[in-house]
Amino acid sequence: MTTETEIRATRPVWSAARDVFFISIERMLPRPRSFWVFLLLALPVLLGGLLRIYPPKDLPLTGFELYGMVIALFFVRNLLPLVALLFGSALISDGVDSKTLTYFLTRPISRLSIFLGEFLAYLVTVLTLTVPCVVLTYVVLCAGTPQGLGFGAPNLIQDLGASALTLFTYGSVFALLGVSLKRPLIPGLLFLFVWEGFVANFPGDAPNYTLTAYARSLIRHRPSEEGLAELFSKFFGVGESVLVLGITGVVCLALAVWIFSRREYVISS
Amino acid sequence: MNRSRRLILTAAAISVLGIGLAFSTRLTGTARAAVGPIPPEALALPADSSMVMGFDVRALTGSQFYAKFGGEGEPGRIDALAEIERKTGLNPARDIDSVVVAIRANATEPKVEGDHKRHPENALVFVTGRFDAARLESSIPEAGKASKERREGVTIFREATGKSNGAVALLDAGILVAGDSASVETFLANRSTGHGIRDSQQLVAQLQSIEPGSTFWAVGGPSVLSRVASQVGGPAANLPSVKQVVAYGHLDPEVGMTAVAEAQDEKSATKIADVVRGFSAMLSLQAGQKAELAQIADSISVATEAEKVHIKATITHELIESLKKTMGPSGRTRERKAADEVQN
Repeated sequence: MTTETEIRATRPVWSAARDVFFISIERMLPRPRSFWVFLLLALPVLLGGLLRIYPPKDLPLTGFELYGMVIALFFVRNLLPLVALLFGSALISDGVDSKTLTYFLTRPISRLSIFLGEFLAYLVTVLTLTVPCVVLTYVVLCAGTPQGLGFGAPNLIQDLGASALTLFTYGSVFALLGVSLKRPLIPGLLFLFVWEGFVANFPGDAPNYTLTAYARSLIRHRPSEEGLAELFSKFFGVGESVLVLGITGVVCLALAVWIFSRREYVISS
Repeated sequence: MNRSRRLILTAAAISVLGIGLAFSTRLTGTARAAVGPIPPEALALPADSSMVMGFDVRALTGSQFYAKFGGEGEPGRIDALAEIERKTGLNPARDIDSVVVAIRANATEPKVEGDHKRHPENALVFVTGRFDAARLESSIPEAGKASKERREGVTIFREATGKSNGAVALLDAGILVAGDSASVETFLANRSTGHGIRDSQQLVAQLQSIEPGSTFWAVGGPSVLSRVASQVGGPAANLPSVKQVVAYGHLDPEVGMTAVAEAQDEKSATKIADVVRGFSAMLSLQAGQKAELAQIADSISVATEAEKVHIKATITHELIESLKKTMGPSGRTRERKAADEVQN
């Protein structure tokens, strides 16, 4: 009896989460999905390179402004939430498909450790794919311009922080969606392109209820928008944006852990 | 996790290399480009500026002086700042780093004979800080009062009512240039061609003589100074003409100011020094009415060196506080009452 109790004693949370992380990162990072996502993230680097080799005449933007547009519109507004959806919503279902969840659930580790390890692996994976692409986009678009590479260096650091926070918050939201729904991809896409895509540009207080309005407010050097977006776009202070995104991320993460620890998984042999 | 580790290390190496390159370029580039207290981006200010002055707003708002006296002012001042912040997201005390003002020689000349009005719109103001560019832009064009133009990555707003020819150019990453349209255009042209302050050796020499770390500073040539002297009137109007003046100062731990004026010859320099000493003596004579004036007079030192006049003044915060008490609200009320009585 004593021996059986010792074997089944649950391991400490962080030590178990670390082991889950090492196994999950191997499942997530060197995968075809990561490769295609990386190609998508590296698109601005390739386009920026082409733009520098064949510069169009009378381009009304400096290199740093172009970079501002890319980080605000391409990365933070569109691509990073999509990357978070692809990886975050599949956090547990991938584990089910690859049978790693079967392995974890039959070991003396808590569900909290499993979820934390998986989420850490998600964060490291998406940051490994995103950070070099953002840095290379900056270097390609700004090096050799009259303003120089050093001009927006502090902004680059802030942008990396904004990207990391965006990935964390959206990752938590989609992880919650992933543990709550059987097929989270369609609701996730609807959330991204209907709710986040339209409501964020509505007049009045509607943008207050979207994440993208707070995420885009973190990019302080973004170029001004034109047309309806210029009229209606709402921007918040940096402190307020960080607070809202951080709290949303933590709350969603806590809810996801809570649901995951109570949900029953039918493990097929 | 061999494969994952390799990928993570490669990504980290690329990122660190890129960030390191950007920061090293920033550090070495700035060190080469800066001239005295002028930030590298402001070097496109016109070389024919007669007067250039600046304030280190960060040093000002972070000073003990600002903590003691900064909150005081005209009624409604705080409300006005809050309103600016609400509309533009800009808190001047928090978001502005430095301000440089350049006044052009030809712009300050009277347009017609006998026209001695000042033309403040001819000053070109360069501001650096952390602006929320998009929010700032969206706050400017209000009810069609400004026209907007985007050119080479710069957004230019022009006054559209025709009352003045003012323009504001928003450059990326927290740089704002405001002034009359022609001056702003000159700045933008200089920025793209690499011309500007560096083209004037005299201006560069004056700027480099400013003590590093000064909170406020000004350099000027003869045209502006003679104009200022004639506008001040009194003994200043009879001052000999001055070739150039360099002035700078700090606010902590006491308010200190140094000015070096270069006259045409030694005789003129002596005359200027005598006028300043006379002014100091006048202050001492009024010590019976206000004891603080004697302390101010004592704090002013004047010396000549060939055709140069060196003037230094140091005033402690306590002395300013004491002066404020005697000239404070009650003092001002008394003065206002006296003025009203005279009018009645």
